[in-house]
Amino acid sequence: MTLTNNKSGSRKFLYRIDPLTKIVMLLCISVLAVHIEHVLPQLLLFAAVWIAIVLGSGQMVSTPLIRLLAAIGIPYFGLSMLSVREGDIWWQWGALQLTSGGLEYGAVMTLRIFILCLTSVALSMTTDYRELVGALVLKLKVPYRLAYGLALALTFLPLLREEARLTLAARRLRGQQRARGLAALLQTKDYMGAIFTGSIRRIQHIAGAMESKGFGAYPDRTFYHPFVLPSSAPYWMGGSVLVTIILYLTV
Amino acid sequence: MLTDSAPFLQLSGVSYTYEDSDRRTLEQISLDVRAGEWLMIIGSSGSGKSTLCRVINGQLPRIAGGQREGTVRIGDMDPGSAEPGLLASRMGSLGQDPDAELVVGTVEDEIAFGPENLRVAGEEIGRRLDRLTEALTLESVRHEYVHQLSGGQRQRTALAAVLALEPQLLILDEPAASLDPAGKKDVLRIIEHWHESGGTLITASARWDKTVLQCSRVVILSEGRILLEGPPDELLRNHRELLEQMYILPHDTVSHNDKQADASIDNDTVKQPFANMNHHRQPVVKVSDLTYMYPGALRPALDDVHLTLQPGEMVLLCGANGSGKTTLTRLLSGLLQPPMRSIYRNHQDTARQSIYDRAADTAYLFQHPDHQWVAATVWEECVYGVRASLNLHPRDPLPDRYRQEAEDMLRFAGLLERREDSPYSLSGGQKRLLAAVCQFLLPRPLYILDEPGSAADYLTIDRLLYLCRRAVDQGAALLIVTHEPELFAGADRMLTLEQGRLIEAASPV
Repeated sequence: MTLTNNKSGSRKFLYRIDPLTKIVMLLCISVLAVHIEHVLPQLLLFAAVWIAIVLGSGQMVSTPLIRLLAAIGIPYFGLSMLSVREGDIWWQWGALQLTSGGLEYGAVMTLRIFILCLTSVALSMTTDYRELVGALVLKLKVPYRLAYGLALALTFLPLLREEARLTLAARRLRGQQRARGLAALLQTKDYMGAIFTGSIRRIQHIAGAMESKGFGAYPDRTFYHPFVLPSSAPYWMGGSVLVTIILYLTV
Repeated sequence: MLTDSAPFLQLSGVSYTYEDSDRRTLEQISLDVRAGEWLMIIGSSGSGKSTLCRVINGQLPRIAGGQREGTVRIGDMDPGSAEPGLLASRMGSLGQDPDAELVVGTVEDEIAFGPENLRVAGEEIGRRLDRLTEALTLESVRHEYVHQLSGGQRQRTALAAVLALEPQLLILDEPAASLDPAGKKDVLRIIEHWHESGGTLITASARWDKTVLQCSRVVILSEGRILLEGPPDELLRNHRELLEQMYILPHDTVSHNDKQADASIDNDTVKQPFANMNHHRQPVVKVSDLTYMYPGALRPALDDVHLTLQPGEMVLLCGANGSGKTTLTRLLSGLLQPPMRSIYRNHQDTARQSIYDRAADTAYLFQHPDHQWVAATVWEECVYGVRASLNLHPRDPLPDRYRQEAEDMLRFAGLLERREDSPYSLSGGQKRLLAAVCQFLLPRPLYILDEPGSAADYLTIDRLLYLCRRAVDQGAALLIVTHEPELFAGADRMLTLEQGRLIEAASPV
């Protein structure tokens, strides 16, 4: 996903709504995704989430994210499918069985993971973490150290992406060519290691910078821009919960 | 409790050893700093000045581990173990890399972050924000995200964030290194003003420049020990020769250094590939009508840029922070996708080439060497490009000829003994030299160096210059981004970027 906290995206719905409303919406979608046990409604929910994210952020879901979802989803689909033996048997080889029930279970579980991943990434990419901290601390009374911890965890994805961009650029400029076969796997392993090392260093830097500015010194802190819940937020939250209840009872 | 007679800061027998290292970076440092004093720590690359700053501000060993011996006191507090709130209310510190000091967010968020943690009221935070954004010329970017700012703007934001804490002690390690001359002047004015209002100031520098004469006392560090200490004019009067020998003061060292380098690097092996390039006066790169705008930006970062780099030419690129220098170098190197029909290499439009093809002909030194590292040790880092160009697998041995050459280069940079260390563990100047050595080991038609001399001592600059001149002699073109053109005497041309438009200097450097 190419979502960022940038100016071009800031006019779009997902950038404009407050973090609390987004969290409520994410929880509603998660409840539905976990509740649904049939392929068609799960597929419809997945499509609706995808379209809502694209329209709400004004940006397409990026190829790297689709690749990541495929890398997680395809093996998971295979394993889930083979783990359930219900309904008609379509194929059998030794102990392995492919059944109609297994296929449906695999598809539902995989789509569930896709939905949870997409919504989490969308929340991470379209939310200003300082705003999220303000909302959690001032409205939900979450201790600010914990709220910052959660918010920084959300920033880890963009951080990984930035680190990946830098690492890849450095490697290309140093003459690394795209490998094939086993060499490509080794190259990827090496590359991922460098990204994580770089990200951990960045996190250490951020932690050091926070501490040197008195973070955690007192049990509470002031906010220059105190979080104010928009007047429209209760309607969006209530509407989301209502729609979820209706769908929960009908699907 | 602090009194007028007691030192504000007291170090007694302080030694420090980094984790995974068996040698002390600091050795028996004893030092008193009085309230209201301006102490300047000067030392060549690797002398331990940044480590000393980080021991005083408590980051070592608190964050990076390692072992500290001796005592450090600020009044009744040991910064290595003090509560963060107490520490932040008494001192602020700032290093060379602003990215290591910022906590992600907008400029306003960054500046407000510290006071918010110290429970300063919102109205007072607003007053500090207004004052600091005005003083550090950050008003126009007050609501911008810090990662969208230029290096100089980020550095000024980091300084504003520290000053917003209103500390009693300020520790600044090369705070103006990545700033343009106007930015440097602004930052120095702010620091001086802050010091005149009664603050205690500790600054670190690799070079003896004109600001030194404004401080109260200078400490010269060498190999982790205090070598000299005293008022600046007294040190200059009595120890000028020693300071020159230590490359803290400039002197005519190039010829000496060239001889030293010639003895350690076998030039024959690397001269071959471009030895005849001077005979063909085909430009290495030709830029015509280049206009570039970042997505979402309101104005172009580069506007109608025309530029030709010939083989064997060393060109300096100057300009204020945010003028488009890094954008231009990133487009030339292939890090950014250039617009169609704007940048040509060998008569080919680079916009049609893959990033691999664009990168194959260009060596690029990042502004911050840490962004460049791709390997775990100095040695692996040094030979990474060679191995990639030879398409060697991880277990394939490096041919003897290249191994010898890499060893010679590391010896020249003074890094051979540190070949098994992590590149991240090197000092700022050593990192710059390693980054350069990695690139100059492979002959390329075009070398782009983004602020290679920033915060480096004169020895590091001499060595960098030697590598540059050698590449130019071999027929390569060099584009050096710098805020200090005087360090690169002998360059053929100087170009200046002003708000994205390129202007050629009337006279050569």
